[in-house]
Amino acid sequence: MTEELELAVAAAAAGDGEAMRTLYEALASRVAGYLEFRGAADPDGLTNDVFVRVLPRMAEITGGWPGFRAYVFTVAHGKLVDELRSRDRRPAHTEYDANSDPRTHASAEDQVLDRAGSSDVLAVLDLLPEDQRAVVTLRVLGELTLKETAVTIGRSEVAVKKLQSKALGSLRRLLSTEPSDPSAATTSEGLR
Amino acid sequence: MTEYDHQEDEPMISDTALDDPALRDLFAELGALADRPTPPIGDELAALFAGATPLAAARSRRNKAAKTGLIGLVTAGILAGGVTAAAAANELPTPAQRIVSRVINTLTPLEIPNPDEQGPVEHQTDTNIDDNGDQPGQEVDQPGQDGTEQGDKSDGQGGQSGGDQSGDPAGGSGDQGGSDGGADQQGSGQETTGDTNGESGDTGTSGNDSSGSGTTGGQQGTNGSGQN
Repeated sequence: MTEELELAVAAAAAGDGEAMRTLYEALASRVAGYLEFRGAADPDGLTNDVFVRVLPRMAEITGGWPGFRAYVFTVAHGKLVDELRSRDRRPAHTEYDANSDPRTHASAEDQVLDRAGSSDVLAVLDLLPEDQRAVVTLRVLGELTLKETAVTIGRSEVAVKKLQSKALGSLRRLLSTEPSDPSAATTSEGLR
Repeated sequence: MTEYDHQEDEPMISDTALDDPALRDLFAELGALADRPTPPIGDELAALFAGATPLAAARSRRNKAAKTGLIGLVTAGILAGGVTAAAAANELPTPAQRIVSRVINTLTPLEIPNPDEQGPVEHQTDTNIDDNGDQPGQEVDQPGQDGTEQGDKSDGQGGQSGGDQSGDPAGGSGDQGGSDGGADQQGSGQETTGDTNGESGDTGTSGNDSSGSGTTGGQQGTNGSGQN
């Protein structure tokens, strides 16, 4: 599979449209998952924008498939940051939706159903500071190395390693205490 | 473009955290986010797959070309302005001044000095004190004030000037053209001596001679003798 993607990267750099499509299908869902998890309003549209920006520059990308993947996540991260900042400057006015209001408390039945699902586990990541969450998400979901993650978020490799270490420590602490200790929520709030 | 150095042997974060069951579940859930359907391909991306150039890239190329053209225009304008200014001040070398003045005078209402339409430069200020006794600020090659010419004019016999080396072989009596010629080249102060030696009528009253060019003095002297 990796060899096929390496060939696709080389062909796309030469302007092969089918190779570009292959690369898109191989990586787009992962990029969209990252953008959705990080809070993008329209992850699918933003994923399209990312590839529209990256694919015409294929000839400039070095490093084969890993280099292409890292560059795609770099652009995706940049676009996400732009969107989040833009949203902070101009808050969107939408109709009130009780289902999306975080201040509401789910019923006991909903809480049980939620725990059966996966959202409860991932919600722990929201308790991490922004940069730690970005590092963990890019390393796991984007499958990036330490160095690639550092380039993506614009930090040094040493800084990324420290952020990752802190994030893992916090996650271990949170996941080990959260189910039984109600004070964990207060503790975890301090991590933000 | 940043070159990424992918390290294949570097363990992923999920590998290092697999010892902890809680983290393992977390990373498994996080990785499962990628198992979503591929986002639908938009129009712009579809056009890109079909070989079209995206608008942003085309716009970027156009902007780059426009920027390059603008820089070229500004540079050319600065150069043209500098050349025109130098030409207006008549500071260009003569061939360049001639060309620029023709172009400017023909194409624009401006008037640039043309070296072809100007006479020879007559006034040159001698700023050096040399061995010939020249004084700074005195002008040279002034016809009529040359000591040679004065000497010739005072030559009542109509003798030819000593500076006239190619003059009439039947020169004036006593006028030692040979010595005059040498004197002219050294300066008219010495020429006076030559004329004095050559002819008694040649008073050589050229003590105030400041000429640095004996040849010119000789020619003027020839004219003077012709009038005589």
